[in-house]
Amino acid sequence: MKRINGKIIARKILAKDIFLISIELEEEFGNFGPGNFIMLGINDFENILPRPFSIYHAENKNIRLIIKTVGSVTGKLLKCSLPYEVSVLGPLGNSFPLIKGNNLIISGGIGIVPLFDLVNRINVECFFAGFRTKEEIFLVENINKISKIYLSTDDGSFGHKGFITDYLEDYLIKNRDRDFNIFACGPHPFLKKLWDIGKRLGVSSIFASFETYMACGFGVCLGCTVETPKGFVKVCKDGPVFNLNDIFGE
Amino acid sequence: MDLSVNLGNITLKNPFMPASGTFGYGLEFAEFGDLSQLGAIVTKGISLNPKKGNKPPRICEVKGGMINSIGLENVGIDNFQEKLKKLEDLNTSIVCNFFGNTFDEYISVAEKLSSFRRVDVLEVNISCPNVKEGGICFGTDERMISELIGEIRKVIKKPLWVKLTPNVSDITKIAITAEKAGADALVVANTYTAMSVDIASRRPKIKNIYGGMSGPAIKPLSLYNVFRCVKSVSIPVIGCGGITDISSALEFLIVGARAVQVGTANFINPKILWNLIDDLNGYLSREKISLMELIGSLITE
Ligand SMILES: Cc1cc2nc3c(=O)[nH]c(=O)nc-3n(C[C@H](O)[C@H](O)[C@H](O)COP(=O)(O)OP(=O)(O)OC[C@H]3O[C@@H](n4cnc5c(N)ncnc54)[C@H](O)[C@@H]3O)c2cc1C
Ligand SMILES: Cc1cc2nc3c(=O)[nH]c(=O)nc-3n(C[C@H](O)[C@H](O)[C@H](O)COP(=O)(O)O)c2cc1C
Ligand code: FES
Repeated sequence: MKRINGKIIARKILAKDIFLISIELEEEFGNFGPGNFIMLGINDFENILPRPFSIYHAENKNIRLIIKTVGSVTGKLLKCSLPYEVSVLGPLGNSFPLIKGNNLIISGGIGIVPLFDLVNRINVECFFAGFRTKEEIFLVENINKISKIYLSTDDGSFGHKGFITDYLEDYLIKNRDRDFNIFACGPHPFLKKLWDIGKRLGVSSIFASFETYMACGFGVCLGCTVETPKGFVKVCKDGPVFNLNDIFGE
Repeated sequence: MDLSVNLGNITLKNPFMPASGTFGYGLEFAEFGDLSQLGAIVTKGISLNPKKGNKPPRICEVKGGMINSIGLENVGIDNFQEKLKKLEDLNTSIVCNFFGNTFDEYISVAEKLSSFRRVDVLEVNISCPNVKEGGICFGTDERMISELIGEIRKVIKKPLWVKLTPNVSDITKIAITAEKAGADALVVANTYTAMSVDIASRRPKIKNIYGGMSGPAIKPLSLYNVFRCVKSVSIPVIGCGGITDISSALEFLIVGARAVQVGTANFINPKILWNLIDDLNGYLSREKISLMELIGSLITE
């Protein structure tokens, strides 16, 4: 974990409200695992707290993030004039376990970012990517080169129509005799649905990356806590990747 | 430059230390600098038994600050003793912040904490509700403060700092009461009660509805509280609230704070305390003034 100053030197729009930023750092970032994240700080009195973002790509003194505009800081990152000074703290949190087996990946919307790099590190049988609508689709063309991919939009404007969790469910039912590991990231209701499906069909493990509000990102503020059947856990330090059983199980 | 400051019965190597609850139990920050260089380490508030804290969400950002309602989650005094062992070799003072849910619990924690050799200073957080007296905050009631600090004073020999809540109508009355009851120094101040609403869902952003506000937006408020306390008591005052850079730290020292605590800024930049030490050195040599001359040098006429 290091704190490094840097500046955003390039920005590219990838889809509706979604863009990639490239940050030039003063020092090398170092190694990271799939699922690790950083805290990105901007020098702005209005938004004093840094924000968590998954690492899309990092090499030498460059780090790239993919961001969806949802509020104040993500709005400023979209509009600021470049170069724009930022700070990067990381790598933080745990990462997806690199395990063998029948591995499936499923993402909802921006949740595709922390899962992207996993395709390069483990054998993946199939990648399920869900989006709300055609204009919000990004990154999938890059994944297509490496792995089999299922694409859906809620409104059917591209790929299959409907929820991606339904397609995953079909796949699991067709392959009921086989055991799978599932890797996931998406909104909370999406993960809950996934847990229900996994439980019903007896999937052995579902690893998912969670989102919460954070202040520090490295376990000292106790602000990112979520409640689980086993007690409170810190998303920044115990996670962000959890076995869904530890979050939703009894 | 000599940055050491005398706080009555203890001398710190420089005036910079973290504020409780923003620095973990210390070791979490070892990756960002040499902990022994800090004026002191102030640990997360400790109670007799482990405390789970409040339900999430516990934090939200507001313009220029943040609101937290962690609910004083902590590992309890026995686990804390284990964590202290890891700080054994540090060459700096260790300040332990503590609280209780009842009068008796405050006394038990104080007694136990002061028996740990590595604990140099006890910092009592009085911004807690007294469960036995209808939940009134200890820190807002002069009678309760007088009894509580007086009793803690009787059972411990180590330096006792009292951390005041600013959520009172006249903080100087509280400061004077704490001094009379035996405090060795005052920390001014804790967070300001506040709330924030998410307009899309029309719900409070914090599950507990309200919390304590900290960060740069509260600096002018705490600065004024320090100014008033410095004038009303003769024991040292430690400034706390919204310090994010050297100029805000200097303001506190100029109004008379003998040392300062830095909280929320540790989340913005975990290296801030080390940066402040360098920056103070730079400032004093540039201005050709000693730290002792600077402290309390406010000109009002
Ligand atoms: C581990 C991790 C990885 C992430 N990776 C990515 C990524 O790769 N790409 C990406 O785009 N995003 C990612 N995120 C999410 C990202 O951190 C948030 O979208 C970002 O912090 C939003 O900041 P903002 O200032 O734009 O929004 P804000 O303005 O802070 O908030 C957005 C909305 O939430 C509301 N809100 C804020 N605080 C609270 C609260 N306490 N309670 C209720 N409502 C509240 C606001 O009112 C507003 O409507 C990740 C999050 C985590 C935890
Ligand atoms: C996340 C968080 C946790 C805190 N926990 C404690 C605590 O356990 N005990 C205490 O006395 N003060 C606690 N505080 C208050 C700080 O020590 C400090 O008084 C306050 O944040 C104001 O300083 P700042 O503006 O520099 O943050 C906490 C503050 C924050 C932000
Ligand atoms: S974000 Fe501070 S403890 Fe997790």
